[in-house]
Amino acid sequence: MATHDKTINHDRSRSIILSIVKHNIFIPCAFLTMLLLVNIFINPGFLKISMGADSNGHPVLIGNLINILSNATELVILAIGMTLVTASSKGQDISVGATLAISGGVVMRVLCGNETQPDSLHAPIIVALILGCLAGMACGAFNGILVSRFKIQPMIATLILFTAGRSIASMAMGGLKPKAVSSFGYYGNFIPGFPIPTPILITIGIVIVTMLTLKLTNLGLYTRAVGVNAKASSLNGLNPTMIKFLTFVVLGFCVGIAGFVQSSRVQTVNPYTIVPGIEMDVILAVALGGNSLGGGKFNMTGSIIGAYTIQTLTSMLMTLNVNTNAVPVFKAAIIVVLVVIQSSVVKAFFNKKMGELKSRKNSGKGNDTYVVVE
Amino acid sequence: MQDEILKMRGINKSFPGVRALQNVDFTLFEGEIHALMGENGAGKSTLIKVLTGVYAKEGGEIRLRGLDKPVTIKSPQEAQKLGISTVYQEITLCPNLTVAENMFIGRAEEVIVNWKKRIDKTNAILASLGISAKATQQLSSCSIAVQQMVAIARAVDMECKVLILDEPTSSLDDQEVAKLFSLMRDLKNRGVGIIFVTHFLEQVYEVCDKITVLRNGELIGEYLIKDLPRVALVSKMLGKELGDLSALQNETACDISRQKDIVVEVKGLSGDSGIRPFDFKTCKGEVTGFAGLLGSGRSECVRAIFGADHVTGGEIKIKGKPVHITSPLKAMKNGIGYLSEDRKSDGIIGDLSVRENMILALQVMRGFFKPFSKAQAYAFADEYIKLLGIKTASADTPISSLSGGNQQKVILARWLLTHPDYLILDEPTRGIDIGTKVDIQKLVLKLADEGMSITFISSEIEEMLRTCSRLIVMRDLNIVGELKGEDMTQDRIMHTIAGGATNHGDS
Amino acid sequence: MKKLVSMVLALMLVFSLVACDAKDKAKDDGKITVGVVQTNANESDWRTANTKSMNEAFAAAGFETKMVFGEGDHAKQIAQAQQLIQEEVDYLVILGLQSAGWEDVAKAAKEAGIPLIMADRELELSEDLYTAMVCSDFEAEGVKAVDWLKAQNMDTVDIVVLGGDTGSSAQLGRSKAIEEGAATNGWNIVFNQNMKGWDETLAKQAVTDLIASGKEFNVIYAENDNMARGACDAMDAAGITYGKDGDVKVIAFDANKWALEKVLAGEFNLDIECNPLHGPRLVSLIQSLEKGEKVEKNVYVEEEMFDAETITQAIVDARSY
Repeated sequence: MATHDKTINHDRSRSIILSIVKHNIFIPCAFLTMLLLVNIFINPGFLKISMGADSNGHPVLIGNLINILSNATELVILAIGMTLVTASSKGQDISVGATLAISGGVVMRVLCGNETQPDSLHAPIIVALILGCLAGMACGAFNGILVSRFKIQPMIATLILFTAGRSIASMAMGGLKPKAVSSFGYYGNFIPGFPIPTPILITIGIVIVTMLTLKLTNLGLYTRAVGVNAKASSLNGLNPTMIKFLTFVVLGFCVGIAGFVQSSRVQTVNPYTIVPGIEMDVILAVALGGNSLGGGKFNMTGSIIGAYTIQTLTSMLMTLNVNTNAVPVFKAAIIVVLVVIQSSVVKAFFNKKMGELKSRKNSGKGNDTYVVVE
Repeated sequence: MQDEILKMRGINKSFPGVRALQNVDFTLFEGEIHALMGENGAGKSTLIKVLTGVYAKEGGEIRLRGLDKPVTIKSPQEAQKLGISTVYQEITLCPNLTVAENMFIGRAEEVIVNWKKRIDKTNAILASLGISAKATQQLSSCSIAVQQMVAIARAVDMECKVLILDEPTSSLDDQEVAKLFSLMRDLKNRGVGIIFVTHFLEQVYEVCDKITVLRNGELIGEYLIKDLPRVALVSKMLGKELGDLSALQNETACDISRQKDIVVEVKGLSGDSGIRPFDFKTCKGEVTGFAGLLGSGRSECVRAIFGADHVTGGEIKIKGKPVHITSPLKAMKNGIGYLSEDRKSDGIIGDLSVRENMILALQVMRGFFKPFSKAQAYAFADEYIKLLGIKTASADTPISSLSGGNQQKVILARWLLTHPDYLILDEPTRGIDIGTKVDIQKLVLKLADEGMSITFISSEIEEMLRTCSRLIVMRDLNIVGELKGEDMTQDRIMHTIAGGATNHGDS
Repeated sequence: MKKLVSMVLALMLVFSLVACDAKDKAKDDGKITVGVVQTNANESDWRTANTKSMNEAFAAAGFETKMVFGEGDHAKQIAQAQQLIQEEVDYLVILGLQSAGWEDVAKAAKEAGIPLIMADRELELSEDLYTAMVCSDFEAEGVKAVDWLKAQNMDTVDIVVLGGDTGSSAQLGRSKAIEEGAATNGWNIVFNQNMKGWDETLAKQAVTDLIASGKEFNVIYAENDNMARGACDAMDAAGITYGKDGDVKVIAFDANKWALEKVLAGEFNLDIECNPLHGPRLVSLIQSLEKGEKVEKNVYVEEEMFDAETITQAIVDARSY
């Protein structure tokens, strides 16, 4: 082993590069950078952020990057919860779109009551936010009980709310489609006078809370332990049922926040069309972040970067004005590349190539203590 | 002189930072049972994986009888085609298929399958090898031993010339081992060359003709069984003279006297695992053992004490205070630690690092909102890596990439970190190399000396005799006897297990 | 083998029970039963008005209504239609999510002697397979918008097209009209994408992105009111003026009451009606058919358009939905 250490000391610089390349968020980061570069290439003004003013004269930041950061909010928040659920339960929650409709619907109902165009809010916004989150957490708890207590596969358990959720949302709204006053729109757009879109601030807040939670509690360790080996975890005093349940409730909370932001964007919720197909985007974000959908270890930073990658892609295809019918094909083609590059087969291939490169360089230097014979 | 059927020369293989094999030679003759011995990490499995095409060799050559050129084996399928078959410790067949289906799966010889013919053929093979299974039986309904034999029969039917048995006896009881051995001898007479990898020295001397010893990836030598006494074998595997083991035996005697403060007292405990109500107590600094055959209830007893299985009745007192243990966490909070029997499925958390595996139990006891800082966790990990001599690249290495013995040491460290008053070790030495075995036995005695009560369970009676000061003997989910002091001999244990005991303890 | 036979028998039993059940329920009180295959229960304000109109008109005329919702699922709608035919309704009204794929349903209805009436969106059926229709001519609506735009005599025309659900006849017709109109008049379409679900949010995101990437445009052609509202939100946020006195002209479709209020306020320049009040038309159609009168097969619903220059408070007040 001593000889090996010496080899590393010999050229530390390369080993730093190697360790960066091998770091588990390198690939997700590289993708995002690549996509951004493509965007800049197509549209040189892509990175430009300018200060404009809205129709009331309040200053606002305008730019593609700002849009991506702002529009990715729901995806990022959901990806955080989905990462935990994936790690603990070895499956995904496909009902997040439908439950987001429910929590958004609850928010609208609380704010608008039974009126379609009320002149004022019926309840303080904080009440709507709390009730929206509680609705999301209740849905999460429902899924969580099915998965953890009744041991139903996550995909099947969450299929129930996936199917029924949007109708439940419609019922929660009393069959109405109200539009709240524009002051409710501060949370999905701008707070007058402050030029950074509020969703970006909310994302930053949630990300900080997540990172602090992972640092200050054992949520991460417990989730991973249960995901990797539930049986062994229970012999170490953990309660796998409880932890799986907990991760679903956490996802439910994320759904609640995302539903609040989403309903604030246009101050109205159409339960049947809100966030179409977001569940797949969220799962994809988790996968792009380098997480195994088979559970176990997880990489939260990766998931967050994955979410931004998908939003960049969506936004890119939108601004490129690709024919609508071709958009899914483009998206699929790019995603195939991203997923394949991250597959273990390709990774192993690159590791091997890298190992060969390393050993060739070493033997070239006459380092006779570590020669791999080929 | 018989023919050489396999000749490996100058095999090299390295992994990042480790040279797993250096210039290893290995020769196998027709009709020979050849033991491949070495501690964990000596290179046995690497050599076998090179031979079966799982790893590509980086140097050297492999020659097979009947081929005039050296061969390069790229995959296990190719190895099978060349007549090299492997039966692993873990059954690699499909338990949900029938025996006949398992015999023929993955061997697409014909397009249209005549199942009747296959079933007949399977039955014929099973009969000729004396395996008590039916072709139409579902594999999972056979015992592990029979499953293993079916795997061997499959290999034989594929006209293998080289049969590799990788730790086949780890999960078998004595009768099953005997059956397996007779099958091996039968195959030997048919001219099959068998490579036998095992940790059990007795079995090597019972069945093998030759021994090749590896250590640290290097070839130590090839010996005829009659030329190599056991002590010499062990010392070659360890690379040192064998004073350790005998020294150990002397230490045990002193433990019996301590009968003062009772740490754990169990009365009429029963669990839903089927264990009959039992009584048990242990004192400070005492090493107790549960002896019995596989399935006799020895694990079920300790699992009930730890709350790992649902407890249906009885009471537990810790240091004289009644406690209600319903879950492992409660047991842990009452100062009980439990190293589980099946390291792979119940012990290690595979993808997590050595550090995380080590601190897990202590962390859980400490609580959800009080995680250890990274520095603290590293300090713990480094301390125990040093203390127990765990061989790992770093504290961040995933535990699954460690050898079995080192994994076990990590799990042991996990429980030592919680500083339990009563530590239960269920088969802590199964499937690990002899060096680590000795380390663990020594550690047990040292901990007991420091005042910890320990229950030590092992399938190897000698090991229990060496470490325990009192043995509880079990049969059919009942405690059938208790032995201590002079009574603790291999003969007495055998008799008690078999039911001829006079000593019906205090249960 | 035994298992298979018993399974088939069990399935047959279940089916026959369902069939009996359905037949038993069918008319015994002489009331006319109308089966309606509606798209979505709560798709938009337009749809809500549409559903309400049918329910109220049928109830007033003494019909029994069996309304089912496809909820965005084309295949589900077809299954629902087949089910209604099984239940032997007297009239089958279909408001298809997609225009294609209805031949089998139409044939089954014909065999069962149930008159099939297409409503809202035209289906791709040959003339012998349906009895009548109460449809909007979406392309004609689009052409109205194109004619209006032409009359504005603008120097340059840079259009943003916000399409509806891909493949629905409303989207196909309205998009076709503007694409052809742009080609013949030399207008420039800077953006043409379909927004899933006819929703504010996606339209808003699209226009926000367009503004950020610096694309110039002076016409928003939004294929429903909601998307127009989303586009306006986006322009508000970027300080771009629109409507009667603004830089960007906003064209919307459907003409909900709240949208007409926006037209009156000068926020939308033009809103083209797509009348959702199919109920009374369907009632009179069914009543004529009951009397054995011959009805015109291909009649489109008459649509109005509302210009910000000419709209009055009275028009808005007269709007019931």
